[in-house]
Amino acid sequence: MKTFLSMKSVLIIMSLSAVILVTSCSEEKTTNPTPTPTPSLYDRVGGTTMVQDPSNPGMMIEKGRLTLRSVVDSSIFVIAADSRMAKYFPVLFAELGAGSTTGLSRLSKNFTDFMCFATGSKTYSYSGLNMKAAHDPAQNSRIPMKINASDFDAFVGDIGIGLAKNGVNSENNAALVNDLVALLNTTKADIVQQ
Amino acid sequence: MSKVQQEPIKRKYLTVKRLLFIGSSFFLILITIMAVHIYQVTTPKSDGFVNSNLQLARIDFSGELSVKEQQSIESYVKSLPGIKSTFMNTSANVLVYTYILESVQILKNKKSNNESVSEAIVRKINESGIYNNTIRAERYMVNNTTAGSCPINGKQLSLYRKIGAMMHNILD
Repeated sequence: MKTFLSMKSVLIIMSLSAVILVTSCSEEKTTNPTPTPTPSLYDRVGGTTMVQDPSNPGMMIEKGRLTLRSVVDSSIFVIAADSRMAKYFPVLFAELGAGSTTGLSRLSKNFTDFMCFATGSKTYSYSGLNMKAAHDPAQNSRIPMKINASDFDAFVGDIGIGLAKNGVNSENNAALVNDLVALLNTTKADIVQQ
Repeated sequence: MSKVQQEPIKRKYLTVKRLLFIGSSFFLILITIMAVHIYQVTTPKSDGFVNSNLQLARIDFSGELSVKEQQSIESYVKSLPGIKSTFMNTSANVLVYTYILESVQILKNKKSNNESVSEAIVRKINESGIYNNTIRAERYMVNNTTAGSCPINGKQLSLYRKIGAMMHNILD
């Protein structure tokens, strides 16, 4: 009788264990795991992690914005030194020559805003002219002529140099470079109007 | 002349005097408003912008520079007090540099402005002896006719610019 009872107990325990095991296994099979969201380009260049802003002592800035701002500022340098580009920025150069820096800082801010927004930032938005209007001399008096395709490609190349100046190039991060270039190329149809 | 005849003349004189006073006061107020406006327009605005007082200038070289000369020129300009950063376009022999006007100490005994700083840097490069005499550094300037219609953008010697510069000299 005692042996029978102990056998019964063992059987109950085994059945319960089997039930628990099957249930737990079946739960794993039926649960849809939450897919890991694909990081946006903005996340890949630093995202929303807050860091010290080297240009604003005591202020914090999202790492993604800081990266993009650095790339934009470096690229402005490259573009300013590119004779193919200079013809599109006479107003900016004239302002600088006359001692006004407002246009330069506004260009840096607008371009950075645009890049943040286009790469997927949820913090920053772009409130400037749309790409078509911004590059149409009839709608934007700061641009003297329509842009042609080869100059647009030269511009993208200059952004590539700006990226390289910030330590990102095709050798060490081809995926990021390609994705940023692809992003810029999505604006080509609106920017090239000649 | 009788006292009765003198009275209207005196009154007329007082009216003219009053009108002149009101007119000149009004004119003075207008001039002040305009001067303040020009000062505000020609002052770099911060508005949350980063590096809002950062100046950018470009120097073009008239001949081919060797890689060593390009590096020497860039290092030389970078070493000048007040220069923030530089970039040399090696294929086009073009140098771009940035600076903050207030921190540039390139001119002695002279209040700096953008034009004088740029000219001084170009002169220093040409006198540095880094390259031979056949090559000249030139400050890049845009043609005024393509520079747009905004009064602060275009002609460097416009009345607007002169008043702005004068106001900055007085108030800064």
